[in-house]
Amino acid sequence: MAQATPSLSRSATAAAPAIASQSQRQLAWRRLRRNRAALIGGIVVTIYLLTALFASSLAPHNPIKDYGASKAFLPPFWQPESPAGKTYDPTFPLGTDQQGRDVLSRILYGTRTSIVAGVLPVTIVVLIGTTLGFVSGYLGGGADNLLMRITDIFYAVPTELLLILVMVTLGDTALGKAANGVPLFLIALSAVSWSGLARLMRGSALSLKNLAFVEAAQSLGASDFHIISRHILPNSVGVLVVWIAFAIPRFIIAEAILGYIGLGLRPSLNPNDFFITSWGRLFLDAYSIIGSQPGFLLAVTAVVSLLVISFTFLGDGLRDALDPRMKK
Amino acid sequence: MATFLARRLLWFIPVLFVVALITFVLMKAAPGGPWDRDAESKQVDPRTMELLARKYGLDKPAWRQFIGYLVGDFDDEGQFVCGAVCGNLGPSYRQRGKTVQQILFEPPPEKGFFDSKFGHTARLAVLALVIALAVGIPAGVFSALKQNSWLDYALTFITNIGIAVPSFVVAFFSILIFAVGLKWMPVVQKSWAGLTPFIIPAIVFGFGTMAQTARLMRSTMLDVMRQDYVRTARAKGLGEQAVIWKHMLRNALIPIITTLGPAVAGLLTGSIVIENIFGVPGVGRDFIQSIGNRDYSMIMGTTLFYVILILLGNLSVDLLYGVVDPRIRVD
Amino acid sequence: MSRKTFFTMSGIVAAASMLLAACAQPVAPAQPQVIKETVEVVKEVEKVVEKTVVVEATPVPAEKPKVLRINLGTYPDVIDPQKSSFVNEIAHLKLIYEGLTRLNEKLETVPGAAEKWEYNADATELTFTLRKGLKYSDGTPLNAKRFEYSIIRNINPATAGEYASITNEIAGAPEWQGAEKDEDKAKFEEQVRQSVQALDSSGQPCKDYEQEDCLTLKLKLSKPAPYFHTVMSLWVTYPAKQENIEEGGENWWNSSKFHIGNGPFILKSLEPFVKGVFVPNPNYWGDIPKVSIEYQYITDSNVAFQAYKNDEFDIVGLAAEDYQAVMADPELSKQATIYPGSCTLALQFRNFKEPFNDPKVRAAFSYAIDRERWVKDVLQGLGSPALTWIPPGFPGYKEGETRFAYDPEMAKKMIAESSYGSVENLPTIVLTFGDTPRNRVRYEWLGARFKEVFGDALKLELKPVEPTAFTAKQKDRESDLQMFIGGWCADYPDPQNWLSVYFEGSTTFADRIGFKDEEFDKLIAQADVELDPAKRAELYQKAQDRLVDANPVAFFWHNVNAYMVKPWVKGIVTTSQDADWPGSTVPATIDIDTAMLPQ
Repeated sequence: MAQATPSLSRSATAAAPAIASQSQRQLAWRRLRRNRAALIGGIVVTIYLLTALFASSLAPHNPIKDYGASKAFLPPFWQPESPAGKTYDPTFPLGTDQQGRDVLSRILYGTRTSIVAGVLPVTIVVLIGTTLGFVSGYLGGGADNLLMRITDIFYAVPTELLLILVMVTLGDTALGKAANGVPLFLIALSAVSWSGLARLMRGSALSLKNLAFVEAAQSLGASDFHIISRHILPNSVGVLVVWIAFAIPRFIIAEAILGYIGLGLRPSLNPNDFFITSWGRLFLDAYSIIGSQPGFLLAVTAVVSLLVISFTFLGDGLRDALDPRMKK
Repeated sequence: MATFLARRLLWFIPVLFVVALITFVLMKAAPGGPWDRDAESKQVDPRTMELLARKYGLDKPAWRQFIGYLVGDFDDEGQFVCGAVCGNLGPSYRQRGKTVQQILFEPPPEKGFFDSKFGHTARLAVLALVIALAVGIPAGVFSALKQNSWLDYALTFITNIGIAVPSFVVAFFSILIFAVGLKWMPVVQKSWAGLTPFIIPAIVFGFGTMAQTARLMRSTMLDVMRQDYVRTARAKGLGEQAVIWKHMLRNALIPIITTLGPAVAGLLTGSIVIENIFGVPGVGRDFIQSIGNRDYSMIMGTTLFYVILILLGNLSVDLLYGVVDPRIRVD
Repeated sequence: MSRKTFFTMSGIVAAASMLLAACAQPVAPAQPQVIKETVEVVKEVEKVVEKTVVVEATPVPAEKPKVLRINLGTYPDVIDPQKSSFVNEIAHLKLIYEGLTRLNEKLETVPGAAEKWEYNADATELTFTLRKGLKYSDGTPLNAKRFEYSIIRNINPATAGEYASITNEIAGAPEWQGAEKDEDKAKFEEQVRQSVQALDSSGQPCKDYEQEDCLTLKLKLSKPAPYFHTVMSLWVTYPAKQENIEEGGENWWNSSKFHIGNGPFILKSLEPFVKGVFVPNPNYWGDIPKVSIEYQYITDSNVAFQAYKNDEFDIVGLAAEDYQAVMADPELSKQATIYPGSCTLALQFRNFKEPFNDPKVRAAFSYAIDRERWVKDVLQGLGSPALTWIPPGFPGYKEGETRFAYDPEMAKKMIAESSYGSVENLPTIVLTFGDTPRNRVRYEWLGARFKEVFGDALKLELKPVEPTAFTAKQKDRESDLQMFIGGWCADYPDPQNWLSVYFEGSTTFADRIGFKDEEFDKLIAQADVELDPAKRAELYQKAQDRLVDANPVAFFWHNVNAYMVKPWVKGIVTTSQDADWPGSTVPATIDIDTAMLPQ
């Protein structure tokens, strides 16, 4: 899967030293507030997060309750009749799937898994990737070489191959059975994804370490850790934030595509399970009944797209806000 | 530079070895074997399975199978058969009688290389990249020049579709629009000769790359636009066009160039879904099926090939990083 | 325009366009009416003008080639008669080749390349007499020695054909395959060569492939097997030419040049993963087909269906998810071709594992399956409830079986009478299945129904497993499977292939579920060697009744084959063994009304 690679943050090339963090944060916040698109994006993301938490209260139906063949393939509110010949029923605002399950409820519950599928791997990847990337780029030499070769190995293993094999081999272990198989999937997904970010952060550290203010800090006797955390990290945040804003939806979509190929979370019989269904699963279900109830696919696509776009606006806004050289 | 290149190429070997090892271990650890079919089909009877296992060398100890695959082993008649290092990627377990390298690279009789499986995937991937760049770069530039205008938002929105919607959905809708609706192409191609049948699949396939390129271009252009030297050029009285072309574009393109290598590698190895939907007879379809089929040679061979592509792509980034930004010295 | 407004509007526009695209229907051509008018006009002209040469009322369209375009699905791994085993592979082979016998539209075994056959007194010897003057598609003669070669090639352990064991009744075959030492291998190979002999009219072994007087094939069987002539219709005996196989090497089958056969079609061209083209074989002894056939290999069923609607395919598979939409459409519903299949699916229990070692628990779960509702809700009507192992349409099918039909009260009663006493006391039951999108939906449904019948106290878990891993689990007696759905599709239409092959105590299948019933085995042993057809049928009937009683598995549903067939395809005669496409067993009856083809 093609990974987004970095823009070298040219903003850091000027000789401006990092401003004291306190006022920088205030400036950033003010700039963010002024970017209306970003604010809307942030609000939408928050709404999704709340939906994920409170899905059980918001959903009109039990997401795994099937109402039988008579209620299958019901159309959504914008379509009076579905191709399967069924008419709209207001108790199911977005229609039903082939088992007669309410689409709206399933989408609401699916938000949980998908948000987690977006956020959890990203967190792991950021932790591992930035650490390794900074260390590798800043220290250079032998350590850099070795770390980069390790990165190469993880980067080179084809994603699907590793995921399928890991899921198949470890699926029967305790880890694999926990919480509908979601944690195993996410850990495996993180394992194949951290290398891209590591290279990105390494590139950032490489271009920053030769700059004047870093040399200055070194000559003052600052420790490597201090330099990385106080100088390299803040100046890489722009790139990192953009990466995160793209990574989250990318992981959400990855879950969908891997489902198409044949990996999925375990289905649930228990409405009290946390991860009952996921958007990836819903994409697949919707795609398979596209001839009979196309509204399902449309609804899922719209919901996911909206979240992705919101993330993008938010990400752009954060980047603009955090860029220490932004004059506007 | 030459020593750098040589050293990096030399590093391919241990990386390939470790990847091969990981793949081999996981592959063998996965339950089920090449002759465990779909549960509703008739299963191969145990004695035949034994015979087949022997024929393919599965009765040998695991370490010997691994070394044999990579380097080579002696066959039943005592002849040494060279392994992966000689380009022999092993006999396919499912497509009996063909070797993996034949499956990947050999075209049908009287046809050229680009009619082989990999040839089809390559055509698809390269065309996708070309389209992605041809659309993504200008889109990003205009987006940046007219930042926060309606054009910017429209382009942002469209590129987001490319990332937010899974490829099989986009692919299917494009079939509905272009084949069923506009009738510009049949739903199912009868032949994959030339480049024409690949156009719509390549557009869909490249959509994600196009979106990322546009976003990246936009953000680098924005960066560049804010640079002091741009202001200087303007202050010097250079026309806006000249400023754009000579200074901004050239500098903004640099990060894009560094992404080309991995992008091509990613496209070449990530075509499964598109190939499946459009029916392109490429490598991706086979690869995923071979994992489920436990076609060990196919898995190992294709993986090694993919890894080489990805490593080459990565290497190109590092090379270009060093070339385009003199402040970075990679050694 | 503010950003927000723009955003909302573009969202609506995008959504609307996607919706329109999703709802896009191809413009239905109004042809049928036009054609009707044309016919009427011609008739009128003929009435009025008597002696004149036929006046062209409408321009005569150029003779349209009759090509039947079928989407087959996955491309075959190998198209070699002695190595193939999947439905799609056989779909290619049975057009190009023909066996000694073949099946007709009633699934009876009728003469193929052989015009007659005869068993000896105790059905341990089977002698075929080939037709005179049989030819391959290239005009070269076909004699019995060809079949001798192909049958032996199937048995030969060096070939390692995946379906080789289907002819294991031939004396020496299993021993040859199982031989380890060289002298054993030689000995049993010799025995097989004595068991499969091509003879001339004086009873001497034939000399070569050109010998005209070589029309007898004599087979020696290791035990009486009066069904063996049906086995000889299978693809593993198809007479591919030895010289072609040797010339082409391991990979001979990948090129149309080497596939010279004796069947109704000639393989004109094969473009792997893209297209296979078959044209009628003028040298075929029987009915020459009227159409050519084109296979394509699209695996995404939505795409295939769109192509069908776009008139790019004449036959495609009909997925259960699309069934209701098709039935709701006046045009499409007439094109749905649904006919019984050759498979039965059952909810299988590991009889040697708790709690299914208790027959009452097994009975309880059998009673708990609402088969009618499953067929209606989950299969969308594409299937039929099963209470027996042999499906309708197959010899040995028993109509009117009622034991273990859905009865939730009986289900609970059985649990109460079992050694566990109540649902609470049952251990956790795991329902394992191969993880595919379709299966997930199905098993969720099934699990929900069991919970309804037995109450929430039932500890039931769903366990999806990667499909190949699932198969491996089924084969491994020590694996953790308890309850799972498994099935069987007939190789050939004979009760022996259902009952003996699957449930007889020494078979691998019976071993895997832990079924061994003396009475059943006795009946089967008698039936397998019984020569009198009526007695044979009766014995198999008793055996199946015994099987239903013993209830090692809960019979669940019989499948159906569902396809969409364009209205201009005429003369399709379906059989339950047409698992690849409708009419494939008797393709010569198929015709295309070119007048109905869209322009």
